[in-house]
Amino acid sequence: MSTRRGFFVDIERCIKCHACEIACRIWNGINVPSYRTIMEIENGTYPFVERTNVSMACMHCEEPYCIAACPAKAIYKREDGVVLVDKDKCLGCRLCSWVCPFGAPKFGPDLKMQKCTFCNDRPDSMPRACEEVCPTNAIICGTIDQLEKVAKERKGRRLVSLLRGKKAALYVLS
Amino acid sequence: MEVPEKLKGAKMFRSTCHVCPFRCSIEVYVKDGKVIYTRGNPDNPNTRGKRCVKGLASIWFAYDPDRLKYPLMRTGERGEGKFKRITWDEAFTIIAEKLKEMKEKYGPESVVSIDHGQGCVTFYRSFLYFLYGSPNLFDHTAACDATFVTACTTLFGTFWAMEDYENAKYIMLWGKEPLEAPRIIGFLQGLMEAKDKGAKLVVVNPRLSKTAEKADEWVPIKPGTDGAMALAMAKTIIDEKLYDQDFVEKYCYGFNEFKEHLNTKGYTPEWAESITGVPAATIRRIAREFATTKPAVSSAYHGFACYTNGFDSMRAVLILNAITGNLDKPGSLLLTGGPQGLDPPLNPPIRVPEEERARIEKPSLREALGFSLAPDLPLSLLPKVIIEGKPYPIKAVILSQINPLMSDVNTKLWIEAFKALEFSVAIDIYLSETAMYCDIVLPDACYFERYDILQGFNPAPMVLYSEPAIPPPGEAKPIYEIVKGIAEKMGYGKYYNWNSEEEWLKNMIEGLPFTLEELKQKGFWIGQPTYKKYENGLKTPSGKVEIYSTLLEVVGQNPLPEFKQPSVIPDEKYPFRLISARMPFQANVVTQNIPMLMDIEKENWAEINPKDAEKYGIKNGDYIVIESPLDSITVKAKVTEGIVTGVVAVIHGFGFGHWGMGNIAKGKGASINKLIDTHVDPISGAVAYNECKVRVRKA
Repeated sequence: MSTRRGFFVDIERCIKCHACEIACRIWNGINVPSYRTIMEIENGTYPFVERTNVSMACMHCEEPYCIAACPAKAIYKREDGVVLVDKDKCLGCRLCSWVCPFGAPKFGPDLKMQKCTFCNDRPDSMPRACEEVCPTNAIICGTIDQLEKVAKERKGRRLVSLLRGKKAALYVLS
Repeated sequence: MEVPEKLKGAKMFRSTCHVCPFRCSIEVYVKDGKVIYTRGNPDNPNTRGKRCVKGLASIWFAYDPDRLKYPLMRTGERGEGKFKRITWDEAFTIIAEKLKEMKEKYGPESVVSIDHGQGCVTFYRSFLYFLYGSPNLFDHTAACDATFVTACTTLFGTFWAMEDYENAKYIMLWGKEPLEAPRIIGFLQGLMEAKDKGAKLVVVNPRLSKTAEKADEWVPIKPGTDGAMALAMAKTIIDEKLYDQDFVEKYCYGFNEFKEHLNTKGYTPEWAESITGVPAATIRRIAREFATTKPAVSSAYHGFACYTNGFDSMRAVLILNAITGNLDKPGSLLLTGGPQGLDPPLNPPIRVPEEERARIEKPSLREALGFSLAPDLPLSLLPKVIIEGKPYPIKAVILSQINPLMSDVNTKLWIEAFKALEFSVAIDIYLSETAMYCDIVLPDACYFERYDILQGFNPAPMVLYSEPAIPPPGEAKPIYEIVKGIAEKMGYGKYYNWNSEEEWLKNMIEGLPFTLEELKQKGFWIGQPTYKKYENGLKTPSGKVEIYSTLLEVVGQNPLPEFKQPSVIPDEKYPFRLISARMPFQANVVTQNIPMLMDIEKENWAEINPKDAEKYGIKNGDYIVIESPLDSITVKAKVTEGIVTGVVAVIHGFGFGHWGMGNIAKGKGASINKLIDTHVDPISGAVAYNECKVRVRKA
């Protein structure tokens, strides 16, 4: 049983429309860079070509490298698993961005780290901004237990960082 | 539901998104006079609580400092962009006087209005038609769905048709991109639901589009040749007796003639292979799969409107549904769902008694130019009409929410035409490129700032409601107040003397089975979908699905679809065909001043196959010059395996390369429209955007 929260990203559904990115920016009132990064990977040769789209934000890892790396102890993990940053403590040294496997830490005009807060000003009954808007339901937010269920339904699997084998809370389709 | 701090104390207003013409019912949350949050109407089947990225980002319209705020009068040369601020009273007086002058000198038909087909447009359409007497009120249809609409009219007697993705087991899309040009969320979710349930999705497209990426099968095809593949599929289905015999006997007109026609013309899969580049075996296999998996749907949209052979290709694709009996039942092509499927239809907002109406004496330009079956004026032909004064003089243009200098082909000719006009008015939220050539520019209200009632796009009849959530910026006014102001100056004030907007809103829905209160409460009204309408007879001359079109026969056109090559064929000097496609996060020429969207891609790009790129030494990310016989542009190259050879695809074709509009939009990327010469579909009048040959080189 885990009530820790995270994202399920269904790459079979993501169409790289950037709606999650825009919803995130509108709700969180942020300037560039957005908390989300949307990527496209192309494989194969004409006419057998495949393209995969992935929308990534902070994955609120079980054992986050960023927390371990932060010299100012500005990054912390809330009880529900959401990883947050205390901007007052952040030195802007960017060590977190070196160790994050997902490129989640972003740096705005104040040069301090900012990243996905799991829309922490939204009540639990309301979907996160990215999940709320996703036109193909490619992003699902929830507790790890809920995500495990969705992953099973959609034949997803947990993405494990290849670098050090620590658990992240991202699921993709295999 | 628990409300987040940010939304506490916010008031919710009902509105209808107007970023694209597909009309999504939305909720707008306002706090301290500012729009802080929007979402799709959770109860509406089209929106399901969601908005597409373009609609979502258009919250910026409520904040944009580049919005027009005051009426303007041109002081510099046309196109120079020099204007002075005038009062509304001055603007109304000038327009009223000029309209009177035009009517006296050249007749009321010399005034043409072009709009975007929604957003209070019925106001000035009814003014110009009923009171002023001009038959020339046109929409953006030629740049959009003209080919699809004309094909539906001739085949099914309907204005529109809609795919029932959700219940289909086999979905074939040709030049129709619900995932690359996301509009109504219900379409996308329906497609995903169908895939979840195991439906097969086949996408025929020269590019690996966003829809093709998700397809079970991508069929890359030489652009402009889809009609050949569809006809060969039809022949296979008929030859192998896989068609729905009962359906064609009872409900189709001209099936035997069609069968004979396919044989005489020799539309075999082998013939189609030589034209399309799709292997004959693939065509046969897909034909068999399509005919034997039920329910299935085959549909196309704007992609086909981009060639002068688009109309016949479109009919061929839609006929595949008819011969397999995949019509107007769950999971097939539904003969409904368009913006005009309401019965009775919405009324005009103002009442003008029959005897007080102006007499329309001349045929509209559409008819005068010989496009009697087309739903709208072939817009690309208007510049030539203005310049040459034939078939009759056009001296004034009124534009609302439309920017043909950016959105139509042959930009230079449009500029010349606007310079030749005696009078022009633009109603817009930005100083668009076309507005820069106009004499009077009026600041419009955006969809957050006005009342409106519109019909939605759904298999069931749907009516949508909008109310103002915030006031317009500066002195900007909604269309209904603008038309009222002009009408009063022309002595028609008595038709516009409402005490509150409720009066004309009630007029619009009179006779429909709901009240204005009910509409306000939910934000929309939806009726019941109807199926198998062919059982009671369709609105075609024969009452049947007209595979052999009697309407086309009457106007002296070929009643059966045949394959013709596109008008422009690449040659030695210009070896590539130029095509275009959409970005999911930009809506035509409308959204480029939204900073959040421009942050995603700061400029547009051209896709090219690695084999072609190599020949010209082009690498991914290089800037390339694309030259047509008319002009040239420079854009970034994206070398991708996901495109056929011999083609350059500019994504997003137009919409980038603004030189007006606003500070964010200006000067980013390039529009292909100045490269393209004027070609229109001879029946539907659609703008043939892809009739263009080009050459490329490294910049």
